[in-house]
Amino acid sequence: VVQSVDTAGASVGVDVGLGVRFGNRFLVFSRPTPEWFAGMLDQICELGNLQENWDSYGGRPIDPQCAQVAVKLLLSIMDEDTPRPAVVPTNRGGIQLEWHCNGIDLEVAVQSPSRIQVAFEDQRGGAEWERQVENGDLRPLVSALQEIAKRK
Amino acid sequence: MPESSDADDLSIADESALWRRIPPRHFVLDENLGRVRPSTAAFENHPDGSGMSVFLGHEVAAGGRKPDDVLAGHENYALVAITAGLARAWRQTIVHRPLVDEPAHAEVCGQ
Repeated sequence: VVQSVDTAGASVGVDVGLGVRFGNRFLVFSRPTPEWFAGMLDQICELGNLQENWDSYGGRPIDPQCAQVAVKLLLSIMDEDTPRPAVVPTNRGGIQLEWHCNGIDLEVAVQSPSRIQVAFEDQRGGAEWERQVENGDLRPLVSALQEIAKRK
Repeated sequence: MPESSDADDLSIADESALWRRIPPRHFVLDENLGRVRPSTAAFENHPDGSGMSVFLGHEVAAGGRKPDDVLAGHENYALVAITAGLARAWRQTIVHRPLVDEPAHAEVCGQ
């Protein structure tokens, strides 16, 4: 479980002992994250430092709730053997996770805390699809990642 | 469909180059291609709902400027070029919208 609290969180009784800073907030975990996740968590937390207009085209700061969703998502669908994604900010304050390896292009855009869009393209098999994650159903995404890992 | 204010400016030829700055955060390693390239996230419409900002290459040149000039002050950014024809092939329109400080500014409009 991960939640985001502001930097005053500790003063209102939230234990940030298992928290990492994301801009002026903390992402707080109920238990330690796995070691293999540390590098990705660092990359996500760095996005919390992006200021308004970070891309020179009016890009918005990254929404801590999108970061929270991205962290939850990655911890749900990955393990230590899964290839690591690129972690990319979006200009509307979201986070895009990208895998471009083993003949597959997979992009997962956390566009808002409640909207996750997935695009998949298999350059070898020709399969191609785009869909929104509905009702928290991550199975298509997990299958795509398993296919990437299987081809290693 | 684009709004009427987003009507395609046909005086911009299909061969015209549209330049867009790419921030360092938008470079990704594509192992399938074996090189670094811009993420698709670098080509989104403006967060306020208006089109994707670009520079019209021929307008920059007409002002006596070079590609490097639009990167001035943007350390570690890259500049990519697509043609207007490619944008149109993806059902986008191109609208020349000069800014006070950037006469070569244009927008690529569409979803």
